[in-house]
Amino acid sequence: MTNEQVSAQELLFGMAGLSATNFKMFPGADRELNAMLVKEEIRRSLESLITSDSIDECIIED
Amino acid sequence: MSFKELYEFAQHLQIPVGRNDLINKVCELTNKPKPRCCKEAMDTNRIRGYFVTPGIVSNERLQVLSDGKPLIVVARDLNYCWERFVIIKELMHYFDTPLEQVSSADEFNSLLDSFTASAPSLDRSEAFNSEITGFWMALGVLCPETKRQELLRSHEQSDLPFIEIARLLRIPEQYVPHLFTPNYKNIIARLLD
Repeated sequence: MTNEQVSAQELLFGMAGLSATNFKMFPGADRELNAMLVKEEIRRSLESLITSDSIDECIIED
Repeated sequence: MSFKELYEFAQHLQIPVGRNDLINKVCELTNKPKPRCCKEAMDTNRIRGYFVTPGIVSNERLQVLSDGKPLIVVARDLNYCWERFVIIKELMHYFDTPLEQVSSADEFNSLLDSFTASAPSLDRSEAFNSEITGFWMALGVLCPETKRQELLRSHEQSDLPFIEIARLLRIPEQYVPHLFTPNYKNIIARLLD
């Protein structure tokens, strides 16, 4: 188990993380997805959300 | 509260179906708070978005992030139509049953394995099944049935191209053919059952 796998899981489900009760995803365009690379995207984005001073909220006007 | 009620509500909406109409109705039906939708830099070859329902959060920064609301994160590079579709598909997970929810590292790994498997499995988890149904639920509410039939006729009789249909619906062009698959009505019927 790599650090990236532990980190994504910890951020999502760990006691010091989001303690998520549900997670779902929308896969990317690559027909041959690599689980580790997908987890890295999730980990990196969650870390960015947690550490950034402002969140880029979607403006939903429709 | 069920998807059927949302679907019936969506049948009366004009195209392009508005996300706020769907979000408000889903929250009303499920008695859950509106999602917090945000953009993050993600490689869209790998992932276009994800949905997280935070639990009890002790970390102060995570509390600010979650704000007690479900979180929908979309890749920043998505265009308008893709962002619409990803958000609505993830919104459908408000209807997930407890069996369909992914709430542990093991279930998360299993879900990722299902997405990345080299061959489809005959033994799919409830969680992975909900990913598939979420996709079709999103299609169903973004294109009212009467409009779908009208667009199909226009496509068959007048060669209305898929790109134009996508523009009318504001959904990704690659999903337009899914609206016209011969099995579409059966798929929707199963979702409404």
